[in-house]
Amino acid sequence: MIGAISSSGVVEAIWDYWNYYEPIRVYGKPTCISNTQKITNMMDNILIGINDTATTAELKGAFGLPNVTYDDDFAVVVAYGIMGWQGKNWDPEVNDPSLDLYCGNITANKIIYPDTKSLTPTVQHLLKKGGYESEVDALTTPMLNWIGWLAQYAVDGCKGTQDSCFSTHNATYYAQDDISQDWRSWPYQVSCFDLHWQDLSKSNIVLHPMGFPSNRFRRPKGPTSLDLPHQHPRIQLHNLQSRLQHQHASRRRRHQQIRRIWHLLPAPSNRRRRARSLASSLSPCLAFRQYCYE
Amino acid sequence: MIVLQSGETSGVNRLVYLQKGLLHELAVATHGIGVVLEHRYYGTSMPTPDLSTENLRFLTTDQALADEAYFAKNVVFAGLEDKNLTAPNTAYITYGGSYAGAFVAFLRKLYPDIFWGK
Repeated sequence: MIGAISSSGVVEAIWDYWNYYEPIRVYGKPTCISNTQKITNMMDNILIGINDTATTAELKGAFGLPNVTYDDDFAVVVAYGIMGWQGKNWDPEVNDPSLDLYCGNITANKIIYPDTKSLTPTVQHLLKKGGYESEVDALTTPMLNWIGWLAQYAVDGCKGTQDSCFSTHNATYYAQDDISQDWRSWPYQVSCFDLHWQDLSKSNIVLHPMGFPSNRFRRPKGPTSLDLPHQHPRIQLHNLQSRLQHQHASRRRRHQQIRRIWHLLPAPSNRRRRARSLASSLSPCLAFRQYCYE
Repeated sequence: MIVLQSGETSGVNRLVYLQKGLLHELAVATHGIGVVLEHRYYGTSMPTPDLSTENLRFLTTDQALADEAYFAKNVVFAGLEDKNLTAPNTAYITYGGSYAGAFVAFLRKLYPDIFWGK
Protein backbone atom coordinates (compact mmCIF):
# COMPACT_ATOMS: atom_id res chain seq x y z
CA MET A 1 0.00 0.00 0.00
CA ILE A 2 0.96 3.62 -0.40
CA GLY A 3 3.71 5.14 1.70
CA ALA A 4 3.33 8.64 0.39
CA ILE A 5 0.58 10.72 -1.20
CA SER A 6 2.04 13.44 -3.36
CA SER A 7 -0.66 16.01 -4.05
CA SER A 8 0.29 18.32 -6.93
CA GLY A 9 3.89 17.48 -6.09
CA VAL A 10 6.30 19.70 -7.99
CA VAL A 11 8.97 17.12 -8.71
CA GLU A 12 10.24 18.57 -11.96
CA ALA A 13 12.13 21.81 -12.33
CA ILE A 14 11.48 23.38 -15.70
CA TRP A 15 13.32 26.33 -17.16
CA ASP A 16 11.18 29.07 -18.73
CA TYR A 17 7.98 27.51 -17.45
CA TRP A 18 5.35 29.50 -19.31
CA ASN A 19 3.31 26.30 -19.56
CA TYR A 20 2.09 26.84 -15.98
CA TYR A 21 -0.67 28.98 -17.45
CA GLU A 22 -1.68 26.47 -20.12
CA PRO A 23 -4.26 24.57 -18.04
CA ILE A 24 -5.79 27.92 -17.14
CA ARG A 25 -5.84 28.98 -20.77
CA VAL A 26 -7.34 25.70 -21.95
CA TYR A 27 -9.81 24.99 -19.16
CA GLY A 28 -10.75 28.46 -17.95
CA LYS A 29 -14.01 30.09 -19.02
CA PRO A 30 -13.40 30.92 -22.71
CA THR A 31 -14.48 34.56 -22.75
CA CYS A 32 -12.59 35.32 -19.55
CA ILE A 33 -9.47 33.74 -21.03
CA SER A 34 -9.72 35.47 -24.40
CA ASN A 35 -10.36 38.87 -22.80
CA THR A 36 -7.43 38.30 -20.48
CA GLN A 37 -5.17 37.26 -23.36
CA LYS A 38 -6.04 40.22 -25.54
CA ILE A 39 -5.78 42.87 -22.85
CA THR A 40 -2.57 41.30 -21.53
CA ASN A 41 -1.17 41.28 -25.07
CA MET A 42 -2.13 44.92 -25.39
CA MET A 43 -0.22 45.65 -22.18
CA ASP A 44 2.84 43.77 -23.42
CA ASN A 45 2.72 45.66 -26.71
CA ILE A 46 2.75 48.89 -24.73
CA LEU A 47 5.27 47.99 -22.02
CA ILE A 48 7.69 45.99 -24.18
CA GLY A 49 6.90 47.06 -27.76
CA ILE A 50 6.22 50.77 -27.52
CA ASN A 51 8.12 51.14 -24.27
CA ASP A 52 7.88 54.91 -23.94
CA THR A 53 7.42 56.79 -20.68
CA ALA A 54 4.21 58.54 -21.58
CA THR A 55 2.28 55.49 -22.80
CA THR A 56 3.51 53.34 -19.94
CA ALA A 57 2.42 56.00 -17.49
CA GLU A 58 -0.97 56.21 -19.18
CA LEU A 59 -1.40 52.44 -18.88
CA LYS A 60 -0.40 52.30 -15.23
CA GLY A 61 -2.54 55.32 -14.45
CA ALA A 62 -5.57 53.70 -16.06
CA PHE A 63 -5.21 50.74 -13.71
CA GLY A 64 -4.89 53.03 -10.72
CA LEU A 65 -1.22 52.17 -10.33
CA PRO A 66 0.56 55.35 -11.48
CA ASN A 67 3.10 55.14 -8.70
CA VAL A 68 4.23 51.57 -9.21
CA THR A 69 7.66 52.35 -10.54
CA TYR A 70 8.72 49.06 -12.10
CA ASP A 71 6.90 47.42 -14.99
CA ASP A 72 7.30 43.92 -13.58
CA ASP A 73 5.66 44.91 -10.29
CA PHE A 74 2.80 46.44 -12.27
CA ALA A 75 2.47 43.22 -14.29
CA VAL A 76 2.15 41.14 -11.14
CA VAL A 77 -0.61 43.29 -9.70
CA VAL A 78 -2.76 43.30 -12.83
CA ALA A 79 -2.36 39.51 -13.00
CA TYR A 80 -3.79 38.98 -9.51
CA GLY A 81 -7.10 37.78 -10.94
CA ILE A 82 -5.87 35.07 -13.30
CA MET A 83 -3.36 33.89 -10.69
CA GLY A 84 -6.28 33.07 -8.41
CA TRP A 85 -6.71 29.80 -10.31
CA GLN A 86 -4.34 27.97 -8.00
CA GLY A 87 -6.37 28.96 -4.95
CA LYS A 88 -9.55 27.27 -6.08
CA ASN A 89 -10.79 24.54 -3.72
CA TRP A 90 -13.93 22.41 -3.54
CA ASP A 91 -14.25 23.35 0.12
CA PRO A 92 -15.90 26.80 0.32
CA GLU A 93 -14.12 27.53 3.58
CA VAL A 94 -10.76 27.08 1.95
CA ASN A 95 -11.60 28.24 -1.59
CA ASP A 96 -10.09 31.45 -2.96
CA PRO A 97 -12.91 32.97 -5.06
CA SER A 98 -10.76 35.64 -6.69
CA LEU A 99 -10.44 33.90 -10.06
CA ASP A 100 -14.19 33.45 -10.41
CA LEU A 101 -14.86 36.99 -9.26
CA TYR A 102 -12.27 38.34 -11.69
CA CYS A 103 -13.74 36.33 -14.57
CA GLY A 104 -17.27 37.34 -13.69
CA ASN A 105 -16.19 40.95 -13.73
CA ILE A 106 -14.30 40.97 -17.02
CA THR A 107 -16.99 39.10 -18.91
CA ALA A 108 -19.92 41.20 -17.72
CA ASN A 109 -21.60 43.02 -20.58
CA LYS A 110 -22.07 46.29 -18.76
CA ILE A 111 -19.86 48.55 -16.73
CA ILE A 112 -20.00 47.42 -13.11
CA TYR A 113 -18.10 50.27 -11.41
CA PRO A 114 -19.59 53.70 -12.22
CA ASP A 115 -16.34 55.44 -11.27
CA THR A 116 -14.57 53.76 -14.16
CA LYS A 117 -16.79 55.23 -16.85
CA SER A 118 -14.68 58.36 -17.06
CA LEU A 119 -11.72 56.19 -18.04
CA THR A 120 -13.41 55.13 -21.27
CA PRO A 121 -11.43 57.44 -23.61
CA THR A 122 -8.15 56.46 -21.96
CA VAL A 123 -8.92 52.76 -22.14
CA GLN A 124 -9.90 53.03 -25.79
CA HIS A 125 -6.75 55.00 -26.56
CA LEU A 126 -4.64 52.31 -24.89
CA LEU A 127 -6.42 49.51 -26.71
CA LYS A 128 -5.72 51.23 -30.01
CA LYS A 129 -2.10 51.94 -29.19
CA GLY A 130 -1.68 48.35 -28.03
CA GLY A 131 -2.83 46.95 -31.37
CA TYR A 132 -6.51 46.22 -30.65
CA GLU A 133 -8.17 49.01 -32.60
CA SER A 134 -10.41 46.53 -34.40
CA GLU A 135 -11.72 45.18 -31.08
CA VAL A 136 -12.10 48.38 -29.12
CA ASP A 137 -15.85 48.00 -28.80
CA ALA A 138 -15.65 44.47 -27.49
CA LEU A 139 -12.78 45.07 -25.07
CA THR A 140 -13.65 48.43 -23.51
CA THR A 141 -16.14 47.18 -20.93
CA PRO A 142 -14.00 44.17 -19.95
CA MET A 143 -11.00 46.41 -19.43
CA LEU A 144 -12.98 48.95 -17.42
CA ASN A 145 -14.34 46.16 -15.24
CA TRP A 146 -10.83 44.72 -14.81
CA ILE A 147 -9.72 48.13 -13.59
CA GLY A 148 -12.72 48.47 -11.28
CA TRP A 149 -12.34 44.96 -9.88
CA LEU A 150 -8.62 45.44 -9.27
CA ALA A 151 -9.27 48.73 -7.47
CA GLN A 152 -11.48 47.15 -4.85
CA TYR A 153 -9.46 43.92 -4.71
CA ALA A 154 -6.00 45.39 -4.27
CA VAL A 155 -5.36 48.99 -5.24
CA ASP A 156 -7.69 50.83 -2.89
CA GLY A 157 -6.47 48.83 0.07
CA CYS A 158 -2.94 50.15 -0.25
CA LYS A 159 -2.03 52.53 2.53
CA GLY A 160 1.32 54.19 2.06
CA THR A 161 3.09 54.51 -1.25
CA GLN A 162 2.21 52.12 -4.07
CA ASP A 163 5.78 50.91 -4.21
CA SER A 164 5.64 50.09 -0.50
CA CYS A 165 2.58 47.94 -1.21
CA PHE A 166 3.48 46.34 -4.51
CA SER A 167 7.15 46.65 -5.27
CA THR A 168 9.66 43.85 -4.93
CA HIS A 169 12.70 45.98 -5.73
CA ASN A 170 13.39 47.25 -2.24
CA ALA A 171 16.80 45.80 -1.49
CA THR A 172 16.81 47.36 1.98
CA TYR A 173 13.66 45.45 2.87
CA TYR A 174 15.09 42.15 1.65
CA ALA A 175 18.28 42.67 3.60
CA GLN A 176 16.45 42.36 6.93
CA ASP A 177 17.27 39.02 8.46
CA ASP A 178 16.31 38.97 12.13
CA ILE A 179 14.25 36.04 13.36
CA SER A 180 10.96 37.85 12.82
CA GLN A 181 11.56 37.93 9.04
CA ASP A 182 9.97 34.55 8.54
CA TRP A 183 9.12 35.37 4.92
CA ARG A 184 12.80 34.72 4.10
CA SER A 185 12.74 30.94 4.19
CA TRP A 186 10.66 30.30 1.07
CA PRO A 187 12.32 32.88 -1.23
CA TYR A 188 15.64 31.43 -0.07
CA GLN A 189 14.49 27.96 -1.10
CA VAL A 190 13.02 28.99 -4.43
CA SER A 191 15.90 31.25 -5.32
CA CYS A 192 18.67 28.88 -4.39
CA PHE A 193 16.97 25.71 -5.58
CA ASP A 194 15.21 27.00 -8.70
CA LEU A 195 11.68 26.06 -7.84
CA HIS A 196 8.39 27.69 -8.63
CA TRP A 197 9.13 30.20 -11.36
CA GLN A 198 6.50 30.58 -14.02
CA ASP A 199 6.43 33.06 -16.84
CA LEU A 200 3.69 34.09 -19.20
CA SER A 201 5.60 33.47 -22.39
CA LYS A 202 9.15 33.34 -23.53
CA SER A 203 9.21 36.95 -24.48
CA ASN A 204 7.10 38.40 -21.74
CA ILE A 205 7.61 39.56 -18.23
CA VAL A 206 8.27 36.78 -15.78
CA LEU A 207 5.87 36.52 -12.90
CA HIS A 208 5.92 34.52 -9.77
CA PRO A 209 2.69 33.71 -7.99
CA MET A 210 4.11 34.65 -4.65
CA GLY A 211 4.82 38.12 -5.91
CA PHE A 212 8.55 37.90 -6.44
CA PRO A 213 8.77 38.74 -10.11
CA SER A 214 11.80 39.15 -12.26
CA ASN A 215 12.51 40.90 -15.47
CA ARG A 216 12.46 38.97 -18.69
CA PHE A 217 14.40 35.73 -18.59
CA ARG A 218 16.97 35.25 -21.24
CA ARG A 219 17.20 31.61 -22.10
CA PRO A 220 20.63 30.38 -21.04
CA LYS A 221 23.07 29.03 -23.57
CA GLY A 222 23.49 25.28 -23.77
CA PRO A 223 20.98 22.52 -23.19
CA THR A 224 18.30 23.08 -20.60
CA SER A 225 15.46 20.96 -19.34
CA LEU A 226 13.41 22.26 -22.29
CA ASP A 227 15.69 20.32 -24.62
CA LEU A 228 15.01 17.06 -22.85
CA PRO A 229 12.01 15.03 -23.95
CA HIS A 230 9.27 15.94 -21.54
CA GLN A 231 8.43 13.16 -19.15
CA HIS A 232 5.51 13.06 -16.82
CA PRO A 233 6.87 13.39 -13.28
CA ARG A 234 5.45 9.98 -12.32
CA ILE A 235 7.35 8.37 -15.19
CA GLN A 236 10.52 10.07 -14.09
CA LEU A 237 10.10 8.75 -10.57
CA HIS A 238 9.33 5.27 -11.84
CA ASN A 239 12.48 5.25 -13.95
CA LEU A 240 14.39 6.40 -10.92
CA GLN A 241 12.86 3.63 -8.86
CA SER A 242 13.99 0.93 -11.24
CA ARG A 243 17.43 2.45 -11.33
CA LEU A 244 17.58 2.49 -7.56
CA GLN A 245 16.05 -0.95 -7.09
CA HIS A 246 19.35 -2.71 -6.67
CA GLN A 247 20.96 -0.18 -4.36
CA HIS A 248 21.95 -1.17 -0.86
CA ALA A 249 20.32 0.86 1.86
CA SER A 250 23.55 2.19 3.29
CA ARG A 251 24.11 5.83 4.11
CA ARG A 252 26.72 6.22 1.36
CA ARG A 253 24.29 4.84 -1.20
CA ARG A 254 21.60 7.10 0.13
CA HIS A 255 23.71 10.13 -0.66
CA GLN A 256 24.08 8.81 -4.18
CA GLN A 257 20.33 8.45 -4.43
CA ILE A 258 19.90 12.04 -3.38
CA ARG A 259 22.31 13.16 -6.06
CA ARG A 260 20.51 11.09 -8.68
CA ILE A 261 17.17 12.62 -7.92
CA TRP A 262 18.64 16.05 -8.28
CA HIS A 263 20.10 14.97 -11.62
CA LEU A 264 16.62 14.46 -12.95
CA LEU A 265 16.49 18.19 -12.57
CA PRO A 266 19.18 20.45 -13.97
CA ALA A 267 21.95 20.16 -11.38
CA PRO A 268 21.47 22.82 -8.71
CA SER A 269 25.09 23.93 -8.73
CA ASN A 270 25.04 24.37 -12.52
CA ARG A 271 21.75 26.20 -12.35
CA ARG A 272 23.16 28.55 -9.75
CA ARG A 273 26.13 29.34 -11.97
CA ARG A 274 23.89 30.01 -14.96
CA ALA A 275 21.49 31.89 -12.77
CA ARG A 276 24.21 34.20 -11.52
CA SER A 277 24.70 35.53 -15.01
CA LEU A 278 21.03 36.44 -15.04
CA ALA A 279 21.13 37.80 -11.53
CA SER A 280 21.18 41.35 -12.75
CA SER A 281 17.73 40.84 -14.23
CA LEU A 282 16.28 39.10 -11.17
CA SER A 283 16.06 42.10 -8.91
CA PRO A 284 14.10 40.79 -5.90
CA CYS A 285 15.90 37.45 -6.05
CA LEU A 286 19.24 39.20 -6.34
CA ALA A 287 19.32 39.56 -2.58
CA PHE A 288 19.18 35.79 -2.29
CA ARG A 289 20.92 34.36 -5.33
CA GLN A 290 24.21 36.09 -4.83
CA TYR A 291 24.23 34.86 -1.23
CA CYS A 292 23.08 31.29 -1.80
CA TYR A 293 25.30 29.38 0.51
CA GLU A 294 27.84 27.27 -1.35
CA MET B 1 0.70 7.14 11.48
CA ILE B 2 -0.40 9.59 8.84
CA VAL B 3 1.92 12.55 8.65
CA LEU B 4 0.94 15.69 6.74
CA GLN B 5 4.09 17.57 5.78
CA SER B 6 3.23 21.21 6.18
CA GLY B 7 5.83 22.42 3.68
CA GLU B 8 6.59 26.08 3.20
CA THR B 9 4.38 27.51 5.90
CA SER B 10 3.77 27.33 9.62
CA GLY B 11 2.20 24.07 10.75
CA VAL B 12 -0.58 26.14 12.30
CA ASN B 13 -1.91 26.82 8.80
CA ARG B 14 -2.35 23.10 8.20
CA LEU B 15 -4.07 22.21 11.49
CA VAL B 16 -7.49 22.49 9.83
CA TYR B 17 -6.65 19.29 7.93
CA LEU B 18 -6.87 17.35 11.18
CA GLN B 19 -10.60 18.09 11.01
CA LYS B 20 -11.22 17.55 7.30
CA GLY B 21 -9.56 16.38 4.12
CA LEU B 22 -7.36 13.39 3.46
CA LEU B 23 -5.39 13.54 6.70
CA HIS B 24 -8.57 13.34 8.74
CA GLU B 25 -10.16 10.73 6.47
CA LEU B 26 -7.14 8.43 6.52
CA ALA B 27 -6.67 8.70 10.27
CA VAL B 28 -10.28 7.78 10.87
CA ALA B 29 -10.26 4.99 8.29
CA THR B 30 -7.12 3.38 9.69
CA HIS B 31 -7.81 4.10 13.39
CA GLY B 32 -4.50 5.85 13.10
CA ILE B 33 -2.84 8.98 14.39
CA GLY B 34 -2.80 12.12 12.25
CA VAL B 35 0.17 14.43 12.58
CA VAL B 36 0.89 17.84 11.09
CA LEU B 37 4.65 18.08 10.86
CA GLU B 38 6.39 21.40 10.43
CA HIS B 39 9.34 21.92 8.08
CA ARG B 40 12.58 23.40 9.39
CA TYR B 41 12.76 27.21 9.12
CA TYR B 42 8.98 27.61 9.14
CA GLY B 43 6.57 28.32 11.99
CA THR B 44 8.45 27.88 15.24
CA SER B 45 10.92 25.33 13.85
CA MET B 46 13.77 27.81 13.67
CA PRO B 47 17.13 26.12 14.28
CA THR B 48 19.13 29.35 14.21
CA PRO B 49 18.84 32.63 16.13
CA ASP B 50 18.24 34.66 12.98
CA LEU B 51 17.64 34.20 9.27
CA SER B 52 20.83 35.60 7.83
CA THR B 53 22.01 33.95 4.66
CA GLU B 54 24.78 32.23 6.56
CA ASN B 55 22.27 30.84 9.04
CA LEU B 56 20.01 29.72 6.22
CA ARG B 57 22.72 27.34 5.02
CA PHE B 58 20.95 24.47 6.78
CA LEU B 59 17.75 25.12 4.83
CA THR B 60 17.98 22.48 2.17
CA THR B 61 15.42 19.95 1.06
CA ASP B 62 17.63 16.98 1.84
CA GLN B 63 18.22 18.26 5.38
CA ALA B 64 14.47 18.70 5.84
CA LEU B 65 13.83 15.21 4.47
CA ALA B 66 16.28 13.84 7.02
CA ASP B 67 14.36 15.72 9.77
CA GLU B 68 11.13 14.00 8.86
CA ALA B 69 12.80 10.59 8.66
CA TYR B 70 14.35 11.19 12.08
CA PHE B 71 10.93 12.11 13.45
CA ALA B 72 9.42 8.87 12.17
CA LYS B 73 12.21 6.81 13.66
CA ASN B 74 12.27 8.51 17.07
CA VAL B 75 8.97 10.12 18.03
CA VAL B 76 7.40 9.46 21.42
CA PHE B 77 3.94 10.90 22.01
CA ALA B 78 2.94 12.22 25.40
CA GLY B 79 0.48 9.81 26.97
CA LEU B 80 1.43 7.04 24.53
CA GLU B 81 4.92 6.33 25.84
CA ASP B 82 4.08 2.66 26.21
CA LYS B 83 3.53 2.28 22.48
CA ASN B 84 6.24 2.01 19.86
CA LEU B 85 4.97 4.45 17.26
CA THR B 86 8.21 4.70 15.32
CA ALA B 87 9.00 3.46 11.84
CA PRO B 88 9.48 0.82 10.64
CA ASN B 89 7.63 -0.80 13.55
CA THR B 90 4.54 1.28 12.90
CA ALA B 91 3.27 1.96 9.39
CA TYR B 92 3.92 5.49 8.18
CA ILE B 93 2.05 7.23 5.41
CA THR B 94 3.18 10.70 4.51
CA TYR B 95 1.14 13.25 2.60
CA GLY B 96 1.60 16.77 1.29
CA GLY B 97 0.62 19.30 -1.39
CA SER B 98 2.69 21.37 -3.85
CA TYR B 99 6.24 21.70 -2.47
CA ALA B 100 5.22 19.30 0.32
CA GLY B 101 3.88 17.01 -2.42
CA ALA B 102 7.26 16.87 -4.08
CA PHE B 103 8.77 16.52 -0.61
CA VAL B 104 6.80 13.37 0.23
CA ALA B 105 7.61 11.87 -3.18
CA PHE B 106 11.28 12.36 -2.36
CA LEU B 107 10.73 10.90 1.13
CA ARG B 108 9.21 7.76 -0.35
CA LYS B 109 12.08 7.40 -2.78
CA LEU B 110 14.89 8.14 -0.35
CA TYR B 111 13.53 6.53 2.81
CA PRO B 112 11.38 3.63 1.55
CA ASP B 113 12.04 1.56 4.66
CA ILE B 114 10.56 4.30 6.86
CA PHE B 115 7.62 5.53 4.78
CA TRP B 116 6.46 2.16 3.63
CA GLY B 117 2.75 2.62 4.12
CA LYS B 118 0.65 -0.14 5.48
